[in-house]
Amino acid sequence: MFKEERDQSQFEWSMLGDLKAGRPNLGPMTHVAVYRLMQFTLRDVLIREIGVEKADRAFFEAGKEAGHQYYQNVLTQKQDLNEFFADIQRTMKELNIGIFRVESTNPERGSFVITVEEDLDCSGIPVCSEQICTYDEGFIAGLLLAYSGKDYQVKEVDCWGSGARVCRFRVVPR
Amino acid sequence: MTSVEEALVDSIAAAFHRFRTGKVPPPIAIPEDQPDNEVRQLITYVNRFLAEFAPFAEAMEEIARGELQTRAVLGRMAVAQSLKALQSNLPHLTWKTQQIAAGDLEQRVDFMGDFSLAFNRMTQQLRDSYQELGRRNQFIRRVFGRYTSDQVVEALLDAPDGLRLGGEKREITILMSNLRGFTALSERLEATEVVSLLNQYLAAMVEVIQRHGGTVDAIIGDAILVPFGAPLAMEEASYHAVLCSLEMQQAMAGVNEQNVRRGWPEIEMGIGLHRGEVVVGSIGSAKRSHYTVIGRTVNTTARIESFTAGGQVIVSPTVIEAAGRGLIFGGEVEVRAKGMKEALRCRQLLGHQDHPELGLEAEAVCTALAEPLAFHYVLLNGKHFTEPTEHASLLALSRRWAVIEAVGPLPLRSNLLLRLDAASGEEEVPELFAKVIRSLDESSHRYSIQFTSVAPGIIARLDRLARRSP
Repeated sequence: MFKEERDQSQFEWSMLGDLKAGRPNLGPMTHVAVYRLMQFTLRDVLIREIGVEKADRAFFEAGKEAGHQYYQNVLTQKQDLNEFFADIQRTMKELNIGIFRVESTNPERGSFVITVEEDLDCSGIPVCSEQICTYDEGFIAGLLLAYSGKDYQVKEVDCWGSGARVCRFRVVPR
Repeated sequence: MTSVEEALVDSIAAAFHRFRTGKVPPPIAIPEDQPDNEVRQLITYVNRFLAEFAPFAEAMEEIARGELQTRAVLGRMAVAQSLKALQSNLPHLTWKTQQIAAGDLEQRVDFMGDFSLAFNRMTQQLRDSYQELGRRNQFIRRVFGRYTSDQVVEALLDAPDGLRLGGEKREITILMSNLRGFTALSERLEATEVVSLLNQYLAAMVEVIQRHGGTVDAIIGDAILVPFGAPLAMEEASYHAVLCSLEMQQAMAGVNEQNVRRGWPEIEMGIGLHRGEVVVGSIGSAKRSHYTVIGRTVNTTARIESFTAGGQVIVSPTVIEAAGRGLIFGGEVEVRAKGMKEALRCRQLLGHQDHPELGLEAEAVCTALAEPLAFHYVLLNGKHFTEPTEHASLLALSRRWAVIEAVGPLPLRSNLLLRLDAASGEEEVPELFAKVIRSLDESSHRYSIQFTSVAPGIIARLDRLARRSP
């Protein structure tokens, strides 16, 4: 289930388990630092094993699958783009993922600029001249693919890591 | 110890002076022979700061002017980081406002301090107001929509302040129409035929009424109550009501054409017009309310209408005065009612000089019969028989009119039930209804009457009688 060899994703939402039963005392929430500890150490090992480019690719694809699963299992408002964005904003706030905002839309081109403040992945990390939210890029691409059926190119153009207080993503259809 | 040229110190001081006085200084030139020491490093840092500050200052100026699509600021200075957040938040707020402007009142702003509170409160109030407006519009459509023209409903929606549903006194013109002899006619038809006939008639009338700006306040059976000047005030309300009444009478030709085609009897309508003060407002309970007009003027209009024969319009003195010049009149009709000190001297309306196409038919000329035809009649009060059967004679006749001679005086505008003697082969005594229109000779009790309901079988007999006349 978790450790089988595979060519395609075998992830299922049920693999997250019954948190109520499994953590009756500690509950479903954990410290952001713990999440980052796992992600950054994993990134560290992946870069050592397969290099920066492939590690980034792995994070992007994982984020994309997560976005798809999030759309299927968390979001409920899927009729209209504005409602869809509002639902992402609401649920990401409730789950303490980040403050999701739409900065602008270009209906003719079908492109967006999206920002995430207090981002789970990066807000507060040392400034390092790098955009590090590759997982977020994949997550947004996965959400939009699930919503529209269209593949989007998502590029982080500003990041706490690169000296911004907000993560900014440019989203354009491929 | 590191030595510094005085001129170099002056350059650094001058750069900061310009900076402090609101200017963006150019980079400080480093002499070529400046050794690679702490002084060179200091000037390099100062120049880097100035280079990063210049686009920051430019972006701040653009934002201050409201230009939000600024170039992204680079650099790691704390002020630059805050500016990046501002560069993100302001376009986001613009986007939010655009969504609200497009009608999405569910938009909320989070985590922007007092601004979030103010913005979200504003959006909430907008949503509340919008919902209240929606409820109000729904109420107006429910109360007025069915029988009021779209134009009037739209005007009400556009100017809700001009409408006081709580009730107010207002001077308006009222039109009331009623079918003549419809009760007797409805007894001869199947229930479904009565409903279809009425619906066809009402549809034709409502269309004319709406076109002239009247509001169908109530439809009670075959009667229609139409205020002109409520709920929306109307200039020249009496003039519009006059034209409406004439066109309604003309539209009856089309209604009867349909009736004949379907094998139904022809119908006739009388219209009364009166102007005066009424109370207008939405009356009823929370669950069911209705915008209506009440007051003596309404009752008087109904009284005037009851004096009409089929095809007639009778207008009151207040309407004549308000409608202005151009009205073409027929005979005078004195209308009396309970509580009325003096009779209302009304006039039969035959048309309008400016609208010759709307002229109504005056009293038709009757052909004298070769011999008077005896018949019996009963005087009707409302829909009830109140008098014993009396004798009278039919002296002259047309399709819709007759001249009769009674044994005693008959009240003008009273309704009669006429019973002719059964002709050979007829099983039932033929009955027809008529209204006393005019006294022709008071001493001999000779009157002009207009038929208001004639059974199809009798029409042929009346035709035969008229043809046999000399």
